[in-house]
Amino acid sequence: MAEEIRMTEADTVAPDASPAEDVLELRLLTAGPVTGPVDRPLVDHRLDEL
Amino acid sequence: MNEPLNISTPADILAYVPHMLGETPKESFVLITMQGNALGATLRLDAPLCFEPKAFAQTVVSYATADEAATGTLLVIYTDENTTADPRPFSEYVQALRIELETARMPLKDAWMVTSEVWSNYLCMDPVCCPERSLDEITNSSGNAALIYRGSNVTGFTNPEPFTGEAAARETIAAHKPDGWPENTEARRAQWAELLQNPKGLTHEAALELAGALQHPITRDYLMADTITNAPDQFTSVLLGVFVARPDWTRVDTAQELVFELMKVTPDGQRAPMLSVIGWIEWLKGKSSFAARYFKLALEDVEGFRFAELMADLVNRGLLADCVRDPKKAYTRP
Repeated sequence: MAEEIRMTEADTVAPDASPAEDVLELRLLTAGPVTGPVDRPLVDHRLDEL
Repeated sequence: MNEPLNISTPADILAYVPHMLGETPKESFVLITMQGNALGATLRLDAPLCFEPKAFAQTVVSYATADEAATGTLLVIYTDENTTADPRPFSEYVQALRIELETARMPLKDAWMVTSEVWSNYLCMDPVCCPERSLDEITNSSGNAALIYRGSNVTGFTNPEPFTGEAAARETIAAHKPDGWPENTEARRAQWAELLQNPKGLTHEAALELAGALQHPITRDYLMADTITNAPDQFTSVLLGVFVARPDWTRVDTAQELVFELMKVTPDGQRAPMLSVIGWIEWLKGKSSFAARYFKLALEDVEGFRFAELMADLVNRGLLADCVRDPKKAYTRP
């Protein structure tokens, strides 16, 4: 028989918990070193010719 | 489709960079991929300070290889570091970059250096064939004129307008902060959806209500996610720019303009959520430098504002929104 699981106060979700912030925290766990911001806007693909 | 733009001189290329990035970079490396004779993606990174040359070069190339059609590259270094020295500033980094680009089959075709006063070829220091040139040549280039003629405008960073609301705005906004009940969030989401369709419908009262709604983290998250169409349902995907199809970027631009409007009625100390949303949108568009500045402003407005702290960390680690890497989904000017 499975062990009984009891929720404690520590398990409750805070009323102002943010799913977005949780996602970012998870993503940061595997982020690389600090490089500074990297910009990579898309070229407007207007067939710019040299 | 527009007629091809004729970019034929170095000055044309140097004029092209600010049009892509929204401003003239400072202390930066800008790499432009080439697809045959056509320009491909533009990539900007901070000039290296603590990186080892090889590690820096590999980092740059890892971003550049997202352009699978690239056959070559151009490099522009923006710096005021002892630019007349021989060897040139960052020479070890450029050498490492040449090797890595060669390995990635997108060899470096040419390189230039731009200071706050002049520009010159980076690879050739012979003053006879490659003298320092005036920045006016870039401004007056036919490439710059052609881009302006096509409606491109180097606007630079847009500072949010100062608070112009009434003294009671702080209390009104606080009173509009949702208490977390779903029906409360749903009402604001419906209002937001309507305004994204018809931004001219934004009244002073609605601006205060939405400014209040953005003070609540969950409601803020939902309003951000609702900005993106064609995204999966999960917050994870939307937030990190993972979209199943090209989003309606005009709608995203509208959202950004609306949030700027909300800031006019929002006093200091309550602006951090809005600054963070604007930063997030800039990041989705591939403009991480602008995003970082908005997150900094958010943290100046509310010290320790969690969402801005996390996003600033993400951006400073060079993470790009997923959609930025895919030309079919990435932002283009309307």
